Amino acid sequence: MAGTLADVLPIEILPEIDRQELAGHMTLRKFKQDEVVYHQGDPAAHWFVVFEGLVKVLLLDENGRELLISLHSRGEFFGELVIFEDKVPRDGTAVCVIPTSVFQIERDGSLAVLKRNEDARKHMFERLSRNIRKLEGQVEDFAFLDVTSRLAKYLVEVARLGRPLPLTQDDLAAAIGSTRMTVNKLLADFERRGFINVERRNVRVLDEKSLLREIRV
Amino acid sequence: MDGRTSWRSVPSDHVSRRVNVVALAGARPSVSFRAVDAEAVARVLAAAPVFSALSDAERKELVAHLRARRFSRDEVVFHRDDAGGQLYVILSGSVKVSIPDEEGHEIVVAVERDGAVFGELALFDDAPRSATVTALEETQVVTLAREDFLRVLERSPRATREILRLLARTVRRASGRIEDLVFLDVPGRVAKCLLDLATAHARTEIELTQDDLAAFVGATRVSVKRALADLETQGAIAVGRRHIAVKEPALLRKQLRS
Repeated sequence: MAGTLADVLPIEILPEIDRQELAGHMTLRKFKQDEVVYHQGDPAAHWFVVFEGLVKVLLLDENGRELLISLHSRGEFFGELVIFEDKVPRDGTAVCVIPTSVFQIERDGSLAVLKRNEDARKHMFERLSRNIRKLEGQVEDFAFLDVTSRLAKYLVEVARLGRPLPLTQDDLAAAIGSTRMTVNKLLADFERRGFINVERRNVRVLDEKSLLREIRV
Repeated sequence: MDGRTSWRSVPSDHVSRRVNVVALAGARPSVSFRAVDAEAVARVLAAAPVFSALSDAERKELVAHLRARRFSRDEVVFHRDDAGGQLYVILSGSVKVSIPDEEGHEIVVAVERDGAVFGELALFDDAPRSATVTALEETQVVTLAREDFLRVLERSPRATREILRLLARTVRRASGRIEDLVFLDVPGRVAKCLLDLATAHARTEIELTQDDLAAFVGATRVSVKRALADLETQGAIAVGRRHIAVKEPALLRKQLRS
């Protein structure tokens, strides 16, 4: 297992004995498309690293509305706040967008390893800081940008990840805080103007420059 | 046990004077003066996140590395995109943390009061400041340089745990803000913001202008003014010139179920 783990986690920063210990605290789990890894409000004892596939994290409000707060592909963490906060329930629901395998890692075991390894702690600091900056960027977008701008920006960001992400129009709506109907209308408009190509569960960006010009404060 | 309470019981002007003496301590020959002042600052640190995890001896030692600074109302502590080399601890007063855009709009992401730590993010990834921090009133802070702070973390696993918890809380706060912006209407966001600030600061009087509030909830000043007037008519709040008093939290909570 340690062999495959090295592809998605910088475990070379750990001494061999801690690598073994971490491996002993984790399992590889496979999920089908649309399968839930954990639900918002669940008690939390593990964190996750995507080995293969794509995971979306949704925040749900009391009225059942969904906000897609983040996407996690190969090598990315999710549910990792559990490492730093004891006994805080999951603040979102994690769902696999496509068939996905993830490493599930026990909180207590990884805490012990973190405690012994300064470099591993630094790595976690950097990851958390990056996460916060990204979220602050999202706060900014929601406060300053209208729906058209948010969709244009989101499409560019997703396209820049380098490979097609199989997002539905519902996913796009949940990601920009809008409705499927609005997203559908806007996508049709972008397509008509030659900025994008709408395919099944994928939007291909053809003209990034024009799309970026749609972003207005 | 609760250092925060004992710190708060010290009148703020008294503390400010002592801290100033610390800042000047290098110029003063008197050793006894210095010892007393260090104690006062150490008392604040004992109640502040991260530093509370240190031993008394470690905190006292740290005081020698602190620099005191004072900001007047509306004065900028640092700007977004500035290089970030220091951590700040608020001794007295309050600040707003905001993200400005190119056109001069801003969104306030947090309001921090005495005993709070801010500016920690730039210490970890060496990136520029992600937000602008402005004093909301006469505010006294101490700063700690990046290297000194990292040395603290290296020596104290408990302080490390604490700062990671602080970062985790920031993550939750940011995703909560996004959730509010998406799911709540303007009156709902105003009500939520007032409730959150009142809870976070454990008091019913919130010192905030209507402009700050508008920036906090990501709405125009006009719509915030209307929402405040409505809430005041209902008896939920009382609106003053630079502050808002929460009268009936239950009425505010009702706004969240839209």
